[in-house]
Parts: sequence; structure tokens; C-alpha cells
Amino acid sequence: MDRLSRIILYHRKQIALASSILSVAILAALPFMVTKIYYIHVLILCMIYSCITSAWNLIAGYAGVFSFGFQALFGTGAYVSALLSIHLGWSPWITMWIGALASMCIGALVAVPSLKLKQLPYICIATLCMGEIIRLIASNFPQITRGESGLSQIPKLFDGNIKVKSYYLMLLILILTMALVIKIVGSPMGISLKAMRDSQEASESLGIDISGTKIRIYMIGAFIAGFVGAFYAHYMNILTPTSVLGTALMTQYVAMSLIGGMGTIVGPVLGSFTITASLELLRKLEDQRLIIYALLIIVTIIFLRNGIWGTLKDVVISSAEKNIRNKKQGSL
Amino acid sequence: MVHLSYWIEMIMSGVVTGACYAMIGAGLSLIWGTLKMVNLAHGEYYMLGAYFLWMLLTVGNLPLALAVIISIIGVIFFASIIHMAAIRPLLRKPGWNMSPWILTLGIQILLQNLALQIWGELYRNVPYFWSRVFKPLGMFTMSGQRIIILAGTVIVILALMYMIKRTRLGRAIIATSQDGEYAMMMGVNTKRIYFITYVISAALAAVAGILLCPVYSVNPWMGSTVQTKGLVVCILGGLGSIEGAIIAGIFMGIIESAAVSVIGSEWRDAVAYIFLLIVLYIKPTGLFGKKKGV
Amino acid sequence: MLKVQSISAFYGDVRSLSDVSIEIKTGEIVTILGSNGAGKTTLIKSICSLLPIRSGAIYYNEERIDTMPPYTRVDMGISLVPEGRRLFPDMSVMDNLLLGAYPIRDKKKVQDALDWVISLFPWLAQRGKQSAGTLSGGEQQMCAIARGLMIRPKLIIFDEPSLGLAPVIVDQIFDTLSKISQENNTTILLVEQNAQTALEISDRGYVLENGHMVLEGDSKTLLASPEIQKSYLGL
Repeated sequence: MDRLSRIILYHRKQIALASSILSVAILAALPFMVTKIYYIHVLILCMIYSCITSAWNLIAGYAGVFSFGFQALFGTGAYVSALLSIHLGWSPWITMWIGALASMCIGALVAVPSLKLKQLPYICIATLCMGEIIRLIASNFPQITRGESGLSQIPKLFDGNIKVKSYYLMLLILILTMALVIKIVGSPMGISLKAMRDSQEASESLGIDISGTKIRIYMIGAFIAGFVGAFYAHYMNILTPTSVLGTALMTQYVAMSLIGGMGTIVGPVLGSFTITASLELLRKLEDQRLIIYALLIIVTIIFLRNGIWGTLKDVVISSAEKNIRNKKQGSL
Repeated sequence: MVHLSYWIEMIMSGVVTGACYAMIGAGLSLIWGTLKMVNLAHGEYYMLGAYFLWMLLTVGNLPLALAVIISIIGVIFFASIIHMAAIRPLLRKPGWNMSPWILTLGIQILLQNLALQIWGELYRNVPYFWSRVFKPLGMFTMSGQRIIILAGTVIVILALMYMIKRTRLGRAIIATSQDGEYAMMMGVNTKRIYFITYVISAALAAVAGILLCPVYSVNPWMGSTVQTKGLVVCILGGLGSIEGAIIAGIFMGIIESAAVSVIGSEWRDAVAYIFLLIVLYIKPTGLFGKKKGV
Repeated sequence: MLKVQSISAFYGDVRSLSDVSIEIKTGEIVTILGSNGAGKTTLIKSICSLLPIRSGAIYYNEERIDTMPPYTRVDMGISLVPEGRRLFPDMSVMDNLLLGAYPIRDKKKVQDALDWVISLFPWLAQRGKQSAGTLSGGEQQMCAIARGLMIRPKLIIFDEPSLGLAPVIVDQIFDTLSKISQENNTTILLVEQNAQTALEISDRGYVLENGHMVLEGDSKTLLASPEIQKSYLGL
């Protein structure tokens, strides 16, 4: 067991590459295997959440900026793209990019003042307030957004066999998102992000441009969230302020990230698939569904403090270390 | 003169809402001080207090005073169980310091949906404690319930301040929030202090729920907005400062009330949030926060 | 009275104490010398249970205490005067003193203790309402000592009382320490870098280096020993 862990640790790059290719292959093959179109819909939702959660995790888990208002960036992308395509009749393939860019601008606007705040709760509450303000704007201008009743009949991206086509588009978005996240985490910027998370003073003395890096990361995360939000709008064809801008969405990505494993690459994806899939499977239970969901969050946090992936990682590393130590003692 | 009475009425209604924010904010600040966590299940104690009272009054037909006392005890009991079962085990382990917060987020969803299951989504109404309406100086009207809310808040807050500033327990609470390690060396059982502060805060939220439920109606989601406001107030007043939270709470109530009469009720929350953001932009530690944070 | 039996402790993953033993008899003043990073703070934290020990045991009056939670120390009559300025800075001087008497519930006894420490440090009476963070360095140290005395401890542990203070004030503080020890038969464990002054008032001493106990003996012998003279007295 300990030996196996050591081998895993030693070959982790190859294993990671192989398993990502394998999972992409499985995801690409799934539409041919599942019979019910509903399952494809669930998988699309899983991938949408994976993207938002990964983007949030990049900002929170790596850069240490805990935003409780991230849902607003998703919602901004969704609303901007939907409104442009409804009111101006533009093609959703163009408005999606505009939605993402709008979201990126909002992200920069949120990031700049948030950086002045040092303590975690201040950042959380301030970003929560910003998110809520955007939600209130969406629901308080019924002339444009139709308020709480929401937008409907948003132009679609595809004609015919919508679910499968959307599935492959979303898979592409997820792959690109993950590639971007992996690239950022491995880049000098990612390394400085880790230094930043561990000690603000240390990285400041290393001459890392903290504010610049944080703002850049925030804008990248916002762009991803906005683009996925726009996809969501044209995929679901209906939007309400509560569904894409509400704090329930915030609970989702925070819980998914934490249950999967904060500050890891795989964690958010794992968390998103686990929670989204189990919530959909529990749909028959209707009212008890959210109670079970809540209990799931509570139990995971109490027993797997570092999330599923984080705990797994800890177990492998510690048992590999044991193996190495034993070997050393043996050779002495 | 009509104009003046209009303004006085507006301020008074702001003070009443603010009193509620103050109690919620003070509780959140207290919890932050000792446990260094944000309790995102705080609004649910507010909701539970209101539901317990409604049940005891309508189903149990109990006299008001008794119902109020039992409701508070009920919430204290609930908070104790949650603290013991979920929060205490987390405080011991090292790791992501955000986990207890997310745990309370889970508790929030749990309690809200339990309430929905048990009591349904119907909005319930609790009769005014005191249905007389006063017209002091013949200028503005003030309901008996609002007078009770004000009096109740003042008494509770004064009692809280006395406890914190003047008693042995209060000293232990402050010492724990300033330096938990050395508080232990002074003989303070910090785990017990964590428990006590959590329960006191829950009781404060319950009192706010009980006092305000006749004015607003009782429903499973009533805690969410109040909790967000409580958090806003607690940050506005400077995190960890109980006096700050109380002053900021009343202040916020008046600002909201003014916003409602000037630009309309749909912008009330937005005005509160924008106000906080402006204050934080000018003074990143809140109105009464210290320069150096914990 | 206090017996530390070959304890080892880790600070994170770093071993900071290995196989350290000390023994203190009732009424003694014992000094533990060591430079920065020698493991002095770890030793104190271990004795106070603020840091779990990996092996060994700690006994107080024949009772094993390393498994008991930190807050039980005061009930046993052990008082810690923390390093330098670790008062509760936002609390008033009076509240700091009263907190020192936290385990005592009887109000009259608390008042007696307060009168006693004020007789030792009369200036405290006028400064009671001032917040502790605004006192000068020397005053803060004395206030911390006064707070440590509130429970009339049997054993009192001082963590670097001379740290960052002017020599005149250091002398004053050490005079107070030996006076307290003589008048009340209080046992004192002194953890210091300032070898000269500390050894002058103490009966015995230990020297800690890189987590190991390297020397022990009578204060006079230690003062005269070449190792001490070389590394601590700069002779």
C-alpha cells in the first residue's frame, strides 16, 4: 500500500495526463452510451458547475480572495448575452463573447476595491453585497429584464438535437477552462499565487506584484464564469434573477469546491459532479432533497476536512512518505 | 408640521428595524470575536425564535410571557446541539479556516428546509403584543408593538453590555477573543467560552425574531435577508466590535427607512449594500474597526 | 514539586525538544538559560499543555499533568507570566488583574488578592482604568507579574521577564522576583537569556541548546563555568 502510494506520487504527472485523457474520452463517448436525454442534461449541468467552481476555486483556493459574490459574474454573462440577443436580435454566438467580456469588466470593478480589504470576512461580505446589488438591478428594472418573472424564449444556439450538440460545446468549454486553470496554476503567476495565499508579507517581500496578479486572476475567473453563464442562458432559454444571481448559487459553488477539495485542480470538478448528480438523482424525494444535500455538506466537512480530493491526496502523500522513511531506515 | 412628523415617523421606523439589525449584528460580532468564524446559520435562529413563538401562541395557546421564555429556551437548546455536534469537532482540527463557515452554510440550508417541511411555505402572522396605538405630541403615530421592540432591544443590549464589561464571564470572553492561548493560561476554559458565546448569540437572534415577528410575518426564509443585514452591520461597525455593531445597526435601519421613503422600497437593500461598500472604500476596517486586525 | 521527565516535543514537523528533563523543588528559584530558538518557549508551552508532548511525562506534586487541559494549571496553583508584552492590550489594567484571579469565585478573596498585589506595585492603583496596551514596557511587565500573582501561586513561571527592557528596570523586576520568592515561599521557574542577572537570584540552573539540555548545576558553579562565560556573558 505504502509502496503503491510512492509509485503514484513518483509518476503523478504521467498518471494525471493519462487520467485526464481517459476522462475526456469517457465524457466524449457518454452521449452514445446513455439512452435517456435527461442524463445528458444532468451531465451538462455537472460541467457548467465544474467550470464556475473551478473559476471560483482559482480565485479563492489559490489567490485566497474569497468572493461570495461570484454568482453575479455568472449572472451578468447570462443576462447581458440574453438581453442583447433578445432586444437587438444579435446571434447568440456573438453575444456570448460580449457577455463574458461584460462579466470580466465587472470582475475588475469588484477586484480593485476588494483588494484594499485585508480580513477574510470583510472580503466575503463586501463581495456578497456587490453580488446582491447586481441581482437587485436585474430584478428592479422590469422594463428591460422583466424583473422577477425573468426572461424567456432566449434564442437558442443550435437547431435540432440541441442536447447532444450543447453537450459537446460544453465539454469543449470545460476542457478549455481546465487547460487554462492548469496552465495558470503551473505558471510563474500560479506559483506566486500560492506564495500569496500562504503568506502575504513573504510574497510582498519577494517582489511579487500582488494586486496586479490578483486582479488578473479575478478577471480570468470572471471571464470563464461569464462565458459559462451566457452558455447557460442560451441552453436553458429562461433566466430569473434568483436562478442565476441568487445566493443559492453561491452556496452551490462554495460547497462543491469545499467538498471536492479547495485549492486543488481536480477537487472542484469532482465536487461539482458529485453534488449535481446526487441532487438530480434525489429529485424524486422533492422536499427532502435539500435536507439531504445540507446533511451531505455538513458530514463531508466534519469528516473530510480537506474535501474528497484533498483527503485522498493527504493519504497518498503521507503513506508514500512512510514508505520512503522505511526504505531509508532499511538501508541504514 | 406635517412634513416634520413624516420624518420623525420615518426615523422611528428605522430605529425599530435597526434595533433588530443591532441584535443580530452584535451576536455575529461576538461569535467572530471568540470563535473567529462567521456564523452563516445565524439568521435561522431568528427564524426559529419567531416560529417557536407562533406555535406556542396559536397551537399551544400559552400566555405571551411564557411563550416568549419557552421560545428563547428552545432556540438555546437547538443552538447548543448544533454547537456540540457540528461546530465543536471542527474547531479542533487544523486546515482550511473557512470550513466552519461553510459548515454553518450547510446548517442554514438544513434548518431552512426543515422549517419548510414542518411548517410549510405559508406566511404566518403573530398578533401584536400590545395593540394600542400612540400619538405622542399629536404629531406622529407609534404602535405599541414598536414601543415594545424598542424597550426590549434596549434592555437586552444593556444587559449584554453589562455582562461583557462588568462580569467575570465577560472578562473571560474578551480575553478569549484577544488571545485565546493566554486566556487558557489564566484558567479560562476557552471551549466553554466558545459554547457560551455561540449560545448567547443565538439567543440574541431569537429575541430579535420574537420581538419583530408581529411586525413582519413568519416564514422559512425570513432569516436570510436579516442575516445578510446582520453581516453588513457587523462589518460596518468594525468586525468584533459589539458597540460598533449596535451603533451601525441602528444607523443602517434609519438609512434604509430614508431610502424607502425617498426612492422606493425595492431599492432598500441595495442602498444598504452600497452604503457599506462606500464606507469600506473610505475606511477598509469599518466605522469603528481597529487598524490592526486579528 | 515540578518534574519534567525526558520529554520530546515538535513544533510543526521540527523537533524542538528532545529528551529534556528538569526538576524543581519547593521554594527554589530555577533558571533555564538558552538563546533564541533553543527550545525555551516550547518547553514552557509543553509544561502548560499549550503544545502536546510526543514522549515523556510531566509531574506536578507527583501528579501527572501533561495530559490535562491548559486551563487546569491555575487551579493547581501554577501561574504563567508570559513573555514581554502579552497582556490583553484592549482590556484595562484592572480587568487584566481581575482576569488573573479568574478561578477565584469568592469576591472577597479577589479583593484581598487585589489589595496584596497593589501593595507590591502601588502605582497600579492609579492606573487601573487605563488600557493595558498603553502602559510602558516595564509597566506592562510588572502588570503581567501582578496578574500572575493574583491567585497566590505556589509555582510561578516567568518567560523572559527581561526581554527588551532597560537594565535599571530589569534589576527592579528581578529584585521583586526574589522578594516574592522569599516572602511567600513561592517556587519560581525563570526562563531567560540574561544569564548574569537570572543566575544571581536563582539557586540552580539548566542550559538548553538546540532542544537538548546541555548543562545543569548550581547557579554559582554555572556562573563560573567557562561555557556560560563564553556563550552568555561574553567574557
